[in-house]
Amino acid sequence: MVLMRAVLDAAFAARRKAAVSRCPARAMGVFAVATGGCEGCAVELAALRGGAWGLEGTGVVWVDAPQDADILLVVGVLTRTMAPVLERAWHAMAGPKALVALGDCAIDGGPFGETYATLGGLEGRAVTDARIPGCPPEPEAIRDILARLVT
Amino acid sequence: MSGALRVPDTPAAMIRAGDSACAGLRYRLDERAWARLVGSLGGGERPLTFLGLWCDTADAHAQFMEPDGTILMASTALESGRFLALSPHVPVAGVYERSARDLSGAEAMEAQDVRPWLDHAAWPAIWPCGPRPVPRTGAAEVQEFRSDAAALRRGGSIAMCGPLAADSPGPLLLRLGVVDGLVAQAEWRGGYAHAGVMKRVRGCTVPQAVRLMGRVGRGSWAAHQTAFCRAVEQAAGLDIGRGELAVRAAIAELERIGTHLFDLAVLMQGLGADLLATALERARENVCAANRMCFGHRLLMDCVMPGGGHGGLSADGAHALTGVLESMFGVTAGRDQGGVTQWRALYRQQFGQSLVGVGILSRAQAARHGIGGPAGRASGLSFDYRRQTPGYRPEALPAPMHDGGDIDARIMTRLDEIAGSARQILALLPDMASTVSAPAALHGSGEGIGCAEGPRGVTTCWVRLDEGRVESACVRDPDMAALVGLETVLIGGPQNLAQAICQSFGVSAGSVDQ
Repeated sequence: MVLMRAVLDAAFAARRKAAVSRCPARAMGVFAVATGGCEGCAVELAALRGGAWGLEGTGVVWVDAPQDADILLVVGVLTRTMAPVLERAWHAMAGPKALVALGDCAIDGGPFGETYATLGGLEGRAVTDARIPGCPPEPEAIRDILARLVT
Repeated sequence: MSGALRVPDTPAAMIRAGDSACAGLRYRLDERAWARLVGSLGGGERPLTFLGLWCDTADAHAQFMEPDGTILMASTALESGRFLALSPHVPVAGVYERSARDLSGAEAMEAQDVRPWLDHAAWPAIWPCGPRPVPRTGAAEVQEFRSDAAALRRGGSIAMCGPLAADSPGPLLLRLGVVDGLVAQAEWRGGYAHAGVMKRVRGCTVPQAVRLMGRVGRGSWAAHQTAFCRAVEQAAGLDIGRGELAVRAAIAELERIGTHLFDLAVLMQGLGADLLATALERARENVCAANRMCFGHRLLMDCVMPGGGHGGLSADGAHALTGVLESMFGVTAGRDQGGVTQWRALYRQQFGQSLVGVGILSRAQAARHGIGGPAGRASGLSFDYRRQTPGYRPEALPAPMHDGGDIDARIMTRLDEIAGSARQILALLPDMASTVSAPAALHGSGEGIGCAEGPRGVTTCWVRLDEGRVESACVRDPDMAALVGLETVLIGGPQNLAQAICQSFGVSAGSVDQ
């Protein structure tokens, strides 16, 4: 798989900081792609997106299309069938952009590992800008790491 | 005494007339007996519910359930890699046959649909689980769908909702033919989420396998682990104590509450009922917090092990659980008010009768596809495997009250089940304190089938152990039947409610593809 490296380079960081300082209301768009597995991470992410948790003040907003996203959130073990779909989402994003692995499966494959059907996780295949470990990570942990990425 | 051989005349008798491969559970049928069984599966009233079909390198295995909850499996040898298809008589078997062909190259003779289901030409080999995987040479996938001609001739259009769509139910593709705003044809394509669980589990130790089985599909994590543990216990001849049975039942009911709340919240969000969605999400958070405090995991993963191993519920845990169930759901032994009652009122206030008659799954369709769980019960099928499950207080199980088969009935059935589950857990609390069993070390060989009434219906697991390791396993998730049934349910409904109809079933891509 030729998954583009997600670059959160110095230029991006500087530009974003500048943007935030000029415009505190500027938010980072996050687009999530469920790439396979048990959907435990997707459920915890949905909990975070719901009314029981608040993202106000974190600078994180959820977007419905990769074209509107600054951060691509990979949720679940990366199946070989979803790899080209994920790649399409990545290419649809305008730069600068960041890649985040949510959960153990997205990081290294978790219990699914690398098989005929799965590529395991992003580890060793793409440079991620943040990793949110856990099986699944709890909503609070997801919120904290996303918020840290934005600030 | 008559000397004439009695010819088995029911599907169950035909299976039991085969050679016993595992006493009382699985029988081997020769080609002729398999053909007779397949031929007997048609017709109106079905004495057996089809649960699933899988192929390994040598055999095809079909799994059924009798009306009393007994599970039966029939196996037949693959003759030159082929077996007689079930799908001409049992439509839901078609997706299993397509999957079997993709995975192992097994060919279902007389199958009406031989298009790929799991294989998108992204795997490094063709038939990766078969006796002779063939390296793939780089052919690109060409997706084949059913003909659009009928819808297009009527001036219709085609709408696709794929894995990247904001309203997608995960990595799945739904293709609709729409005429005058109404769905004229509906078709799913799966395989995106296929993670190769059944091949991965081979050779695993039991603890490794339990972990994997807890990650089959959304919202049924504990149900799949419980079914696997029961299968292992049956294979190893293990009995578990009353306290552990009560803990498992409580875990199952907490998972049911959490999954129902999640599915309902997603549905309400989609319908724009933000106030009710938020109330449901907050309730779910309280349940998750109680899960974590009592069992160590918000989603109840890895809380069930073969032979037991849970230390029992502490007094603090019992107190916390009671507090959540009573305050959040307003459920005690004598009354049912508070949360669930308020949600019912909120729902009725916002939607009135507008979702009555929308997305109807008839009782006959539910029976035909083997759709159980809340969706089946909301269509008038009363089957609930909990009544057959040791550890439950049957008197505290709710009887289905809604049978309209529409979105409204599925919502109301889930709300009733949330209250029923809360009552069940409260009734079980005294039994849970006595749990002191230890997880069993398993080194033996054997075969077993386990079953659990998960939040969306019956989950089963068949397992064969060889010296403490999994030699082979097959997992049944109820979402496959619901997905196939949805293709029929969606037809005739308004396109703008297609998403809500799908969400009212709560299908998970991971559960379907595994």
